[in-house]
Amino acid sequence: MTPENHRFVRMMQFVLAAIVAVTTIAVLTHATEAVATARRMTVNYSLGSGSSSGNITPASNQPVTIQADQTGTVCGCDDVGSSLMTVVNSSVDRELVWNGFESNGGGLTAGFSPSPGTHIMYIDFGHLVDLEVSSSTSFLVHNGSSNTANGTVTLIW
Amino acid sequence: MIRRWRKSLFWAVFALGLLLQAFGPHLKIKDSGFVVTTPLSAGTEIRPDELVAQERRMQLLSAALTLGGAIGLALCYREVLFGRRSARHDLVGKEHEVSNTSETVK
Repeated sequence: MTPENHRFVRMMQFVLAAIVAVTTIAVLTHATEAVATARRMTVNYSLGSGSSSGNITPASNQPVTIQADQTGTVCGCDDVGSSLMTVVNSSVDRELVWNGFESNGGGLTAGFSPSPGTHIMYIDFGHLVDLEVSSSTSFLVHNGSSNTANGTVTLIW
Repeated sequence: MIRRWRKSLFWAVFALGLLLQAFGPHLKIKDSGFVVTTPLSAGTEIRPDELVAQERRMQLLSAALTLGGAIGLALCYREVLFGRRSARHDLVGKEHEVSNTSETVK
């Protein structure tokens, strides 16, 4: 092997080592971020008139804080509201148990039910979009208005 | 032969770590929280705690494999990467050995 070739091979070895090092650091950074991030998840919804979202199943047997809001950021038609509650997906009672505040000063909301369609809380300004029980372990967003409803549901556990 | 086998093993471990990273759930992180960007459509079901737990498990496993593979590769290729220093170290070692043996002869 000529000295030039040897030098080139050596340089390529260092480049490869640098690529491995940089990739490793990137993976470690990503993993650290994922582990350090709070146990909080935001789910978006975009619902036509009369339709419902998919089921959202909160963590079982621990209080989960729900912040559900029509945000008004997708279109001007959104009826902005804001609401907050805690819910427990109880495997002992085999039902959802909740306690919180309706949107737009609608007062307290509290209850427990495994029955689909049971109202949990309104999340829009006009009390037409709400969270409803969808099964003994999950809930969904239902749009009872004549407009499209866009917003987010945030769960913290 | 064993060296080559060891190198292949560490490359495989490193590649597996990267594959896990590539094919993981990839939850988006925004404002110190996980975000599901696609709107939740009817008929689907989402379990946030399980999704986050799965993401964390995959990330940790990926990080462990990638780091383990990288350290293993660094050890396997230390002669190539730190050749000069190793060579000098060997030389110094040999000098010591030589002086030691000469003292014993005396």
